[in-house]
Amino acid sequence: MRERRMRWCEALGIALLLGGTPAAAAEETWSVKGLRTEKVTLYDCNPDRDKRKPQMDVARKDFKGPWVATRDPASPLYLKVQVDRAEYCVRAFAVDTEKPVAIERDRECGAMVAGKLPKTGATRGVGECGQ
Amino acid sequence: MSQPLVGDGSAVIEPAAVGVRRPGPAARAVAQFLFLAAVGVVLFMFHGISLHLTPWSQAIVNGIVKYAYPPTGQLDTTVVLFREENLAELGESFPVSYARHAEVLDALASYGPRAVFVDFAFIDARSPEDQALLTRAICDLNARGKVPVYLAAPAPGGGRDESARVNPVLLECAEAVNAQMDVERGVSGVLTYAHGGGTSAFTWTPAFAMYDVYARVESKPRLSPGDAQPMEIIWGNLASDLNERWMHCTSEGALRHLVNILRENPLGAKRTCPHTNTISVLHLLGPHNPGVQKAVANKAIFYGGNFQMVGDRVISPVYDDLPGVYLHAMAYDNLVTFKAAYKRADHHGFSLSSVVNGLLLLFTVVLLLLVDKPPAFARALLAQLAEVRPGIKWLALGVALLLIGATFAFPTSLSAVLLLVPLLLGVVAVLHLAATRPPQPVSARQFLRVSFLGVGILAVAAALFLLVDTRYGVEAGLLLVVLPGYFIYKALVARDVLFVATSVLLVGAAVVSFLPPINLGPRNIVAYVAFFEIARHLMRHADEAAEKYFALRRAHPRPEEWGVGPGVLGVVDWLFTLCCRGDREETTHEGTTHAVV
Repeated sequence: MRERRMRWCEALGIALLLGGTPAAAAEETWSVKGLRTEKVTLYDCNPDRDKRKPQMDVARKDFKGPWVATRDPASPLYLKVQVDRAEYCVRAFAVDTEKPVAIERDRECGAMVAGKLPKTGATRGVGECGQ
Repeated sequence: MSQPLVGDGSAVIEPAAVGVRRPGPAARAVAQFLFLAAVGVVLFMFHGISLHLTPWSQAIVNGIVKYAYPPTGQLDTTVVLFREENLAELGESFPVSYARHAEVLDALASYGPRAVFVDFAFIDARSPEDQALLTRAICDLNARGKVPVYLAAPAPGGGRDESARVNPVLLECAEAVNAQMDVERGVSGVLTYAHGGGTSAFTWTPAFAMYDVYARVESKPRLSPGDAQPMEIIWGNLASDLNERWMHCTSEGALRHLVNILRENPLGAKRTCPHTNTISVLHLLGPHNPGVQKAVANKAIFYGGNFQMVGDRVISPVYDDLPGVYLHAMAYDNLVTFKAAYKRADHHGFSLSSVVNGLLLLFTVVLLLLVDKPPAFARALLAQLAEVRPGIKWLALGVALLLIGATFAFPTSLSAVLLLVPLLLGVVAVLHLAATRPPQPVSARQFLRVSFLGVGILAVAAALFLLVDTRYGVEAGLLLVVLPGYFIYKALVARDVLFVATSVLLVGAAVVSFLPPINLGPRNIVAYVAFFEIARHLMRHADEAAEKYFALRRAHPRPEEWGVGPGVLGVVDWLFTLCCRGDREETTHEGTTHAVV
């Protein structure tokens, strides 16, 4: 039962869950037609997403689009955008595209939210995930 | 030697002529009442019968809630969950950085929620840059007061208010609310939710604070601290389409489920998918999506975490252990669903809840004394009722049904009060049944027929239970099969009309206390019914023991035959007299009387 649900979930992904369509080609492009927050930060596209540095901020009122956007292979939470012939990465939720950006696979599929956790006689430290 | 009998089979009361004066019927009734009331108080107050039967009662309540709880609150509430697995996905570690929280709040702001409760307690100071980042995100989300933001604070203590324990820099555009969790009650888990408090200034708990925003925006009646009391949470268990599409929501098979129920209790196997619509931070931080828009826009958002080894878990009667944020979300769901008529709970001290519990116990004890063998004064009182014309009885029944119909059609405080009339009529009907019910003659043929019927009911109920449990869960099995099956058994096989009538009345009383204006949470009816049954059997046994004792006393009237003195035997006579039900007075037999003088 669990396996069947997992297959269903992975096949359709969050795209169907949230009203989008499954992804097609890897090089699919989108057109950013607006900003969804008052200010959007543009980052460099360092393949190590944790080392990305802010390059510039764009206010919603100063947006001069559209920007051409593609997927960021380093993280599904970013999009690569072309702004004034330069490439930046931008947080995916912060921009409006002309069509939904479907996620290839919902990594949350089959998540267990309720359940008994094993009891431990210890307190969690800081940063032990080794990230 | 036999006693002359009156019409109902009890013996004629003869004048006592012994050294120890024995209690008469009225004194016996009072003593039995006090004894049963004391036993009831001890059992219910000290979590005896009540605690053991709570899971069964709770399972029945879950079954009712499953079909009767409206989706109003569910449609208005969304939990945004930061899961343990999300830490790795986001390159984050525990505790989550202020920068990441700021990013989540930015994403929330972009979807336009109505109000946000952040179930993370930001107590310690961090670097000024991090604090500035999170403060800016909170203020952006707050949008100059348009979207209220509440931050979780530890319970007040040490003479400090909630806000004094939250990093003050972050409260520029947010308010601190007391995220205290009430204690768990046995296997049922957390059933109550505080409304607010504070050492110097009153602050709401998260759900009440969020409801205040809802009431203000939707022009609903707002609650004032003076009107509010702690809440008895009704744990909704509606299916959430959103959750079922990405969470693991399957349950175990029917047989394994049944084994678990028998091995533990009906709450041994709980649901794994919460009632509250939920998205994870990965969903939120991903590309803009109409689905997330639908889940967040103009909704009450409860943003919390689900991490290992950090506590903050809530045990509920319906679900496996959940992240603590779901407690606040469920309490808010109750407030939106019931509004000012949310279910009040106050288990501590003298409260309306304890008054209703006391009344239900009193009601049960009185019925116990009046059923089976009603005393003469009760029979005399109710004999007058028997003379009431049938037309008036039908009229009373019609009025009762009309009032019940009116209450369901117009569920207001006034109609709920009117429900007291059918309830009182029900009490009178039970007493009437108790006083006038003729003894049931049993023939051999009838005995066999009833036995087969009993076995048939048991077999059909077992098969139906398995079927319903497989398709709809144990709550539905208990509600739709076990309870009706037991009632049918009592009515058709045991022919115990009084049990059925009493149970219906207890359920009626529970419904009245649940509805406005009383607004109490579910009562543990199973415990009261079980108490009624157990005490009834004990009283019957005590009555039979007294009968045997006085038969022996007639056969052996002299104290030396019992090996005790006349005084001791007189006390024993007195004690066994207390066990006699109805008006039977077998203690004053002539031979016995002479012997103990």
